[in-house]
Amino acid sequence: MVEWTDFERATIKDIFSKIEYDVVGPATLARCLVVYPWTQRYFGKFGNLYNAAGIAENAMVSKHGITILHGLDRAVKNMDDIKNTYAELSVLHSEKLHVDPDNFKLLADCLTIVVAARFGNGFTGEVQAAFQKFMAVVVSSLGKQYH
Amino acid sequence: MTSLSTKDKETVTAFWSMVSGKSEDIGNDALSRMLVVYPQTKTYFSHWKELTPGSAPVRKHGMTVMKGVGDAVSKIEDLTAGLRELSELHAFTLRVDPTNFKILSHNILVVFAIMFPNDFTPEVHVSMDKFLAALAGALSEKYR
Repeated sequence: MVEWTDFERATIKDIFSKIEYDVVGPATLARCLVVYPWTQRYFGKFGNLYNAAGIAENAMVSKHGITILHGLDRAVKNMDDIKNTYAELSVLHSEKLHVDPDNFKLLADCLTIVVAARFGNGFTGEVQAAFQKFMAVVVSSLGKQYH
Repeated sequence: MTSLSTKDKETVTAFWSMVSGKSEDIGNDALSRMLVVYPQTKTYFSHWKELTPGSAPVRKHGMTVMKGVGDAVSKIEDLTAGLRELSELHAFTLRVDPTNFKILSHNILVVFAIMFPNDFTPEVHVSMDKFLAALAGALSEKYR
């Protein structure tokens, strides 16, 4: 089981209570599709992904970005058992969506960058460490049911 | 990974000229963050008097690193040749495990996002990420 300090718990709850899901979600997914273009392989039905402008304006990308971010809510509410919380989602990503789990880390890195930009100097080294630890547990849990 | 396109080089050069005035702060913040978020990196600095974020040795070394980055920007047309000496230094003397280049690069990008949230767009992000990866590749050239 993952051990969380009081600081880490408070930091994660604080971040997720403050971010605007309908801004951060779309920005994160859009950034991922631009910075790591091979991730576009999973979004063949999303239409215009030809360039950064197209991706930024794409309504399906925005909608899906919000969905993904809300998917993290479950982990925020169940920090003591993220692995089991995400068991079903892990199976879904493996068996139905066929997403290479390496992509989870790429998306997590983009979320870190977007959250850092949002919080500015408030995103201190200690806050970054807590956030990245949380995302690492999420990423690991999402990959757990792959076989 | 992928080599730098003309657009990448233009983007990197333009972004760097915009941010290089703050390179001391960038280096200090990136290095401080790295030591906190990835504590295993502290193993390379056991000879320093102190390792606290923002302390004198950290600030000084942050400057050294960012000077290297600026130098690399000026040699963007041929990083391997341009960074040959630095590669030899890292390979034979410093012997920094190359995984750490990725770690420091990540933290430099985080600092860009914090200090320049409106200018560090996805397009700038991808070009800077590619550039730092190419830089790391050039630094690793002489390792084996």
